[in-house]
Amino acid sequence: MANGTAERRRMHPAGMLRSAVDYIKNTFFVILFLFVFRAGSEATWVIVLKITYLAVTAVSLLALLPAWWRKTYRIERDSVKIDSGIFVRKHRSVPFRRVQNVNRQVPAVLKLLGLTSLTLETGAGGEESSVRFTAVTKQEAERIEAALDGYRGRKAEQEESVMEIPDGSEPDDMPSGELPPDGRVVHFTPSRKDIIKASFLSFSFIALIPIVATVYKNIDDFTDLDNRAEGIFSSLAGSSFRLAAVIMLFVLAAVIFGMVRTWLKYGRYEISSDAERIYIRRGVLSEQALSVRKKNVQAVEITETPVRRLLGMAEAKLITVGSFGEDLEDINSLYPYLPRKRAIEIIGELLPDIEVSEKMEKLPESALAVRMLRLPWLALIGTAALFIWKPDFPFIPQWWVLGGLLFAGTWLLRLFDYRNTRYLINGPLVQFRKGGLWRRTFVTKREKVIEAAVSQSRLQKPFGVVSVKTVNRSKPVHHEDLNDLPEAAAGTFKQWYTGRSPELISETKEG
Amino acid sequence: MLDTISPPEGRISKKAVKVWRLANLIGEAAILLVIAALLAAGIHFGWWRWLIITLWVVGGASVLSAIYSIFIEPVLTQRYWRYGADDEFIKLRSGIWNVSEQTIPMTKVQVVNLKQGPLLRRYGLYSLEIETMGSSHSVPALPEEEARTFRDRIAHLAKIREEED
Repeated sequence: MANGTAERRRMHPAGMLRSAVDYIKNTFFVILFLFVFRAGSEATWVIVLKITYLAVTAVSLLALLPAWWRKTYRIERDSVKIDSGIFVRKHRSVPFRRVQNVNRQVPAVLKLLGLTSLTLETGAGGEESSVRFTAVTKQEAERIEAALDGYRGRKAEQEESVMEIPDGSEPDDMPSGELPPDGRVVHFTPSRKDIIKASFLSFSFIALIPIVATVYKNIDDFTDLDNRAEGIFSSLAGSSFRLAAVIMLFVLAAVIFGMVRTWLKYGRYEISSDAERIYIRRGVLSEQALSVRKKNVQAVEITETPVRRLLGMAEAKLITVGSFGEDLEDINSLYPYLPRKRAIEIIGELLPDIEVSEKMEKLPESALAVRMLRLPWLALIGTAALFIWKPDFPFIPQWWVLGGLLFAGTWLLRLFDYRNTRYLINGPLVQFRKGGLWRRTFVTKREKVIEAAVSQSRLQKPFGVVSVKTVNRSKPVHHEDLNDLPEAAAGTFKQWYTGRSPELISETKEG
Repeated sequence: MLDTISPPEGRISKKAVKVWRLANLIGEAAILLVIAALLAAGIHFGWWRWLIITLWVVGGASVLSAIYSIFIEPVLTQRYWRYGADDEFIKLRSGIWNVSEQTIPMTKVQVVNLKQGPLLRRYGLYSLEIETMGSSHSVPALPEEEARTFRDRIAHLAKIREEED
């Protein structure tokens, strides 16, 4: 590894194993159908399908070897070069400065072998937006990440210890004994109590139902489960005691399933940061991690669902440029079940530039008038539909009662939204909060706003209110608007955005 | 409208009104033709009554919208359009019922395009498209000279920023 910078390397050969496992996983139901349920079948079409499947599998698996052999990468001073393709060669060069964040995804197969996969996300559109290292050793992953940040001088082994959290260590005591090297600070790891809370709040126990349904559906396609199930149900209906026992068992199974699922996802959750980057990792069996440079965080969003608001909880999310693939969807979230105060504190710790303020400006009363005057389209169309349809069921009130409820609900939500809406322009930051029942707070810095707009409709004009909008880089592009601010605030917003500032000029093209 | 903020200076060509009139005339005529054809077919073949009624309603609405979009809308759109740029920002203001003012930093401009369709060519106009990382905007009808100057200016300023980096 001495002269490692310009050396051509291959992915770890275990990457082929991973691809093979993925292939088998993806075709699992085909295998089940052809080789289990139709194992003894002599029908021509089954035999043809079996041969086709085996041939396709053989080619796909055999092609893995040359594909692996012909794919090489080279980490250079400021870019990574990838050559791939068995027959058609493709040469890519991705400059490091385009890389916005780094994801790691460690499925169980790789984890057993002490390997990891690494994805470098650029903000570009299309398929070429990311560079994937499907299987590399942990040291190699660290080397790539270090090269990325220009942390060249550091030893790879030093970082290795960060990844290893000793088994059986109590997650809820402070990680004092294993303070990570190079100034990396752990901001949050969930305690056992947090996990139990999360497993109930996420309603993940309900997820058992679709899983059971999917499995049932898939198996039913191959054998006739419906008939057998009917037999079981009719035997259950005969005895209320047996039925109650089965329901109890199912509820118990669902709760245990929910807890296990939550534990698998958040069991080894950790948010940490050093001077340059923020790290989020999670997952017990398979592992996912995100590392993003603080500079590349475009905005922060705090969402509060009605349940969370009742419990004083909130979820903070980092808005970054790259998109996240399968299994990584909400990796940019800073633990979804934190007390609101703690979530805001963590944002402050991670991003010293961004301060979420609780003291925001309210909208003027004229804004409420404008909001109430807007045509309630949904209620109008809904009432019209009810009028035509005139639902006539027992226990369901008359159409005009339902229509009235629709209007009342719409106006009530508008009132809530008005009361929740706040804004603040604070130094380089702008902060919007809105939402009736679901409440969202959005904070971004001026230099991260790639476009701004101020608009006023004919309805807003007599009331002296305007709407403002910011656009941030993300995937898809993040639009954030706030309606019915006083005109003076729009003037301030405009000045805030166009005011001459050194940060804005030094901001690079790729952001 | 947005009285507290002074609008940008540049205006788009008066000829734009003619271009839009012509374009909308073609578009609306096509829609009306289709509806008329459907109505004729419906009456001839005796389609359902509700369908015929719907077609009459849609046809009536199309006539109204055609009158608006051919005679009124182009004039107002042209009257309210403003564009401008200083060294750091491009500003575009437009809208009849809903006035909106966009501010785009030069640093975020990725592509500037001049575009000319057959109608614009007839009047010697160009539309200027500005693409950023997030979205694209266009200044709809500028005289050739003005369009080229504005494009070159944006391209120049956007490039300077990158080189400074």
